[in-house]
Amino acid sequence: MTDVLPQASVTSAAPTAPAEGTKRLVSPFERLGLSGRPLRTANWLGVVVGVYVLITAVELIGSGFKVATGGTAESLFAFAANPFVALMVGVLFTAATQSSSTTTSVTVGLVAGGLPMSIAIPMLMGANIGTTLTNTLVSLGMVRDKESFRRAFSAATVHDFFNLIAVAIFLPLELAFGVLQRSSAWLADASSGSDGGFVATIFSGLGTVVDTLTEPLADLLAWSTSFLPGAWHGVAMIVLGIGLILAVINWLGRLLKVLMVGRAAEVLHASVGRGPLTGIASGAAMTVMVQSSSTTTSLMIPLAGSGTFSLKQIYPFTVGANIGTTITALIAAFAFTGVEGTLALQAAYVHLLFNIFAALVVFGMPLLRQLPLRGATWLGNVAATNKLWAAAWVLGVFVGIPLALIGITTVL
Amino acid sequence: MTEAPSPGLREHERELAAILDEAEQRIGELRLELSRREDLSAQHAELDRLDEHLATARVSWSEVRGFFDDVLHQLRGRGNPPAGDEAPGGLRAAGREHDDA
Repeated sequence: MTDVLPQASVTSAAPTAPAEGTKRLVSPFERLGLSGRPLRTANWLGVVVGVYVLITAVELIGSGFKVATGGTAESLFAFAANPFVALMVGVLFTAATQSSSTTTSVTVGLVAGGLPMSIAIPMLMGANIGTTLTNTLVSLGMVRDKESFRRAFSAATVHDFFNLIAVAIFLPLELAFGVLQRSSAWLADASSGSDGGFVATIFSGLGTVVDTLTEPLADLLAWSTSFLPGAWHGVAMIVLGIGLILAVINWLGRLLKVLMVGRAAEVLHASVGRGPLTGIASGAAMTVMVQSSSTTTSLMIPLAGSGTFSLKQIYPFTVGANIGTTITALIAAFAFTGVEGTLALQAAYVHLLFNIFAALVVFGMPLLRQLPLRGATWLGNVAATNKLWAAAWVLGVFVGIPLALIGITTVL
Repeated sequence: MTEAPSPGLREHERELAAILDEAEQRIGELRLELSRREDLSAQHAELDRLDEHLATARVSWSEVRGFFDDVLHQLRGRGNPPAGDEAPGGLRAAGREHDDA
């Protein structure tokens, strides 16, 4: 599957002629022969349809989870009652799909369907760790040149280290004090329901409209799997919902990259040569534009590998990408209204608050801020000298440790 | 025996030395500023190619497979050199197209 074409095969309005053989972004609609304004209109319509299907799929997952568990939601996720297992489920699912947006959207749907927040919170944290696999894999492609690989692997793993440290701080805090659960519940109450004031009224009204629009398709999809008996019907709805989310996140990413590349370039140009706060803001803005932190963080790997951007410049950008990617779960939360809507919104806020708190604490405190930089620099150095370190890191953090933890907990 | 320089001449030499130090410091600062501007210019130039970077910044499974092939070779003790020293997998991967692009 591809959404790129050799630059030489198309005409370009760019001021400088691109080198032959270089690739450029191509909208799926361009293959239908569209160009100019009709193409742009089709792209935006494609985005609208994509968001509609995303919300519908999340709604389908919520309904499917209810059908599958028959009101005892805990039973299906009993194996993940241990928060470390739930964390690893989030890591593995995100690493497998290479999309934290998919994990967070699915989690939002499951929470609305009855998944306890105590299981959802570590899963959302795990999504943060799992999503860092993508840019780490991209950096492996630079292994041919030792110096480039050292810089690229450091740039990729600074994201890993940041997210691991954030989880190491906030998961124990969550287990001890319920920091995220309480703060997200307060925020969800304040911005949803009938007695939450102006913001809640706006959110509630919007949710009702979206729910009304998406209900027919959700019902149709649920009906299409209704021939299955009992809980299997619910499981089929969940699987269908996950498949749709995966497809639509990919679809949205392809269209938004084409639509937003100019605006994203403007944002990045404006942030060059400025401080870390601007780096965070530009990382967040770009991720919101393309709806994928994997895209934005992977983008920086070749730029870091070539030495054009330093590790210190990449670092705040990846922190911003963490924050920007939370927008998808917030959009997904509009699939529900009423009590379900409040729960879905709370799950989305958990992801948002976790990433904001992590940025404030890990990046905000000078002592902690240095840790990801030092860890990534060290790992980049040893991995460039011996590739076994890089392999051990990728397989250990994203596959071995998660599987071992789940296995041990299941056996015990 | 040479005659000791007069106090006025010493003062003049000190002034010249100070001017030279200041000039060297300024040159250092200018070089630093020039380097910074060159870096920024290179960064802007890369961002001008954002379209191309976004199109290519994705996981290349053939390269990932090549990387792990090399690691396996290394583990089996077939004398694979460290990364960057013309790694066989790197060369193998170099000839491949991005299979997912």
